[in-house]
Amino acid sequence: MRISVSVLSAALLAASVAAAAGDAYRGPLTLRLSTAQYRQIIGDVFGPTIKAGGRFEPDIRYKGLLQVGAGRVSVTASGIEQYDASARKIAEQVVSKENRDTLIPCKPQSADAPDDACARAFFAATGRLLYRRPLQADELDRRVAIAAASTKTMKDFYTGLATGLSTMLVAPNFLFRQENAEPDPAHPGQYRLDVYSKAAKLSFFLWNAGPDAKLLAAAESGELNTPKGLAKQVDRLLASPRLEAGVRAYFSDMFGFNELAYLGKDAALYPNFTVQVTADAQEQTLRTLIDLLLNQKGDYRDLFTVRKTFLTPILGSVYGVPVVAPDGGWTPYTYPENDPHSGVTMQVSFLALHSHPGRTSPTLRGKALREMVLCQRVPDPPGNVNFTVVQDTANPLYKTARERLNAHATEAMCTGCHKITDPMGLAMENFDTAGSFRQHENGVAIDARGELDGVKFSDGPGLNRALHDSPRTPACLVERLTAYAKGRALVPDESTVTKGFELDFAAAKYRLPDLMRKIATSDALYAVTPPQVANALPTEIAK
Amino acid sequence: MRVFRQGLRVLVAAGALLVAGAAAAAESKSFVVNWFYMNNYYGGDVDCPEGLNPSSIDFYRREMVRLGYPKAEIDKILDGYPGAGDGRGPWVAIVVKRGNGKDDVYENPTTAPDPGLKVVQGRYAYGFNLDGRGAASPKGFEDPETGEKGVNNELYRLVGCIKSYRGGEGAAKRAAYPDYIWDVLRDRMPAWLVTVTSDNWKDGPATVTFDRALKTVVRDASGANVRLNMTYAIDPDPRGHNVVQGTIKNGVLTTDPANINFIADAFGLTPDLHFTKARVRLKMNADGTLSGVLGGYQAWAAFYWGNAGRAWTGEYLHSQDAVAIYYALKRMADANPDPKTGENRDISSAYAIEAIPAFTVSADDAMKARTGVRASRVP
Repeated sequence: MRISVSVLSAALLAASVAAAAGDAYRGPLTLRLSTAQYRQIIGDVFGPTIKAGGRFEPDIRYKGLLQVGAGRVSVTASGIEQYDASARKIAEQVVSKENRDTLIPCKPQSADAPDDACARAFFAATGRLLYRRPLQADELDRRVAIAAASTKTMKDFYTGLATGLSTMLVAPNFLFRQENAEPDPAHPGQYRLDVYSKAAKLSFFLWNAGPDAKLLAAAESGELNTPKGLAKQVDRLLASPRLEAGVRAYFSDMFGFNELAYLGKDAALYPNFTVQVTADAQEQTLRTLIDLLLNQKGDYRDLFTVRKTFLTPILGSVYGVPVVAPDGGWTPYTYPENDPHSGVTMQVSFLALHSHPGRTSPTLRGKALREMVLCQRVPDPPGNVNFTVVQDTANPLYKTARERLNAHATEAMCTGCHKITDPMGLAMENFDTAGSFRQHENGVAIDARGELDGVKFSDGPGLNRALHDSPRTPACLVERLTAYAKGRALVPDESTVTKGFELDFAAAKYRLPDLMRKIATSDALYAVTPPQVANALPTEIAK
Repeated sequence: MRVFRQGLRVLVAAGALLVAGAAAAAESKSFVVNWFYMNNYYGGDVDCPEGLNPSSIDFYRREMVRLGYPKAEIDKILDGYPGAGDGRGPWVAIVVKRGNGKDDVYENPTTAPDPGLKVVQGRYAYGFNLDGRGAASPKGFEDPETGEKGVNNELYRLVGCIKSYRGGEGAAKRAAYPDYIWDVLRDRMPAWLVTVTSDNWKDGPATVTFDRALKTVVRDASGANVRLNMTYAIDPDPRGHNVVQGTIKNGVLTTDPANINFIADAFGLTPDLHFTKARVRLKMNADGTLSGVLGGYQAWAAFYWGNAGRAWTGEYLHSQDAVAIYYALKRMADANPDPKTGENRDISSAYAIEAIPAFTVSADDAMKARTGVRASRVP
């Protein structure tokens, strides 16, 4: 294990270089796999019968995206233990009697003695998919040697193979997407990602998974470095059903759905809000957007006014609508015109996530819309703010959230930020903290008037239309999706690139797959500038 | 702004039956039964001036004395009572055959003599004047909420001094045993549904429909109550379908006498719960829930088997002396005399109903959602 840890340390050093360089960094990245990506790769390489359980260290969000934060995280000692435990369990399953004939391409000469040829064949084939590139000769030799040594000790070929495999599964080459740069022959003096890094970038962007065999073959042949070859692969990935996983991953990241795992409501006040509601709420939003953006090839902006959604009986009980679904499963549901439930930000996944356990928060909801949908930064409140008035929902003087916020916002230090957030969030006040519709709070009729950048509206549907019509809405998606694809925050002079994407997006009637194609086939996605500090790093990392 | 309401949707979704006589502007509101339990009034010590009936260890000891066991042996048999409750305690075999020493006493209660049962002697009980005799009814109670005289509720009189059937005040209103039985039962059997069709609960005619669902209830985060606004498909089995007419006056809906049948589960309740001359009184609470009382006659034999079917487990856990209850049921039954023997076969009773807003749809709609084909078109 000493070898893995030392190599991992080097990878972490590379990641720290990127982090230290700050938002101006545009060199090759070292991105830690998310838990979903880890499991997806294991499933892709070994098949669905191999279970990859366990919990890994939490991701961090940076500039609005976990995918960007993935370049700024390391692995702690306990994190290594978790990866190691998972690796051993996976390896044990792969070499088990039930799976070995399917997953290992050869049989050893003897079951209790090393067979380097067979081990080499296995590690070469498996390693190519795990490392997302062919293994170098010394890497392959090392795995074969580990397997042989273990086989001799344990007197079992398959145990030896499992030992070698488990060391691969904790290697930084697997756990981190390590990008490499090379001179760009089309632009002398500039750099681009090497072809395997390019393949990985493409695959993780569109499928949230490692490159498949065809994509690696396109990389190996150099086809991926030609505009035509790249376009062919992008079209293939976009036409695949696996695109759904990629789109789900992006929007889960954009809407902060990782936080839903920790979401709870006061059961005494909101007994209908259960763990199942949380799980269904996330799935509802993802099904809604997949249907609109992929199945219907609809306009991205319609995500904020869409009436067609999918519900379970449990969600129906929260929304107060009848839902007949087979075996408690999912069924399509279309709300009437101008129904307040229209639009994904009027769904439980958004409303409940950006509220407190026992009360709503127009401020949190408005802040989330600004940051997630419009890509506008809302400053954090100062540390010495008195929230007493806002938190006291039993105060007879301020029965509604609007009244409480008006009282709170009389403090000068609060007024500025609340002007940015509250006029949007107050339009969502017809939904309680659990996402259920209401017309009154403490017996007082709710005033859901609001405003977005000068556009006034009288209720939630009005807010939805304003979001739909705001030029910031598609612009934000372009910026954030580009950063997601790149795996890092954009730097100011890249706005010329995103402006071009925006024009193309509008020309394509705001269809998401067209935008993804544009980003995926652009040189900008693969252009890199090696960090100046690279020469100071060990050769292994700089390479 | 949302202008539709749940009831209107239910009417459309369920194709709810609007009965002639109901107001023209009728709308239906559906509910799922959250709690259903014997509505046993609690009036303190005055209810049971002779005291409460003994706990199981005490009436088992009494029976062993009757059977001639020496005190020392009884002490030994009941040492560590009730034990693991797995049927291996030395007392189990004795109490099961405490009649004639060979037959199961729960199946043959007359093999044992009547040990007697202390019964309620108070003034109040929930329920209805089922026999129509009003204040002239010799055994009539007075309803503590409506003030109605001549309330017939002999089942409450019978069980009201048994500890596990003893209600309480306020939040403890549900007696321990009925509470336990329903809490277990509602997760095992299809839900019971109530639909009220009225002119938005204004004074006037109303129709109450009781149905059974195709699936069980779903609980909320509290674990104690049923989820609000769940959707239930109605079981088309006519045995669980009841339509009764009623009138709303001063916000309280009271139905006319009718037979009402519920399909339950053979756990603490009889599989089918038949009420004759039954009446229902319901009120809509401020939070949109429904609460009320169902009173009617039911076959006492069915009630007996609902309890005695659990044999010694029901006895020892809930201190219900099956033999004593059997003789008391026979003795206190107050309706439906057998034409041959003249013995009454039914006993008056009252149950509390607490229901939560729900959506109901027809089995056809449920089938269509599942298969794309309506049930009525399946050969």
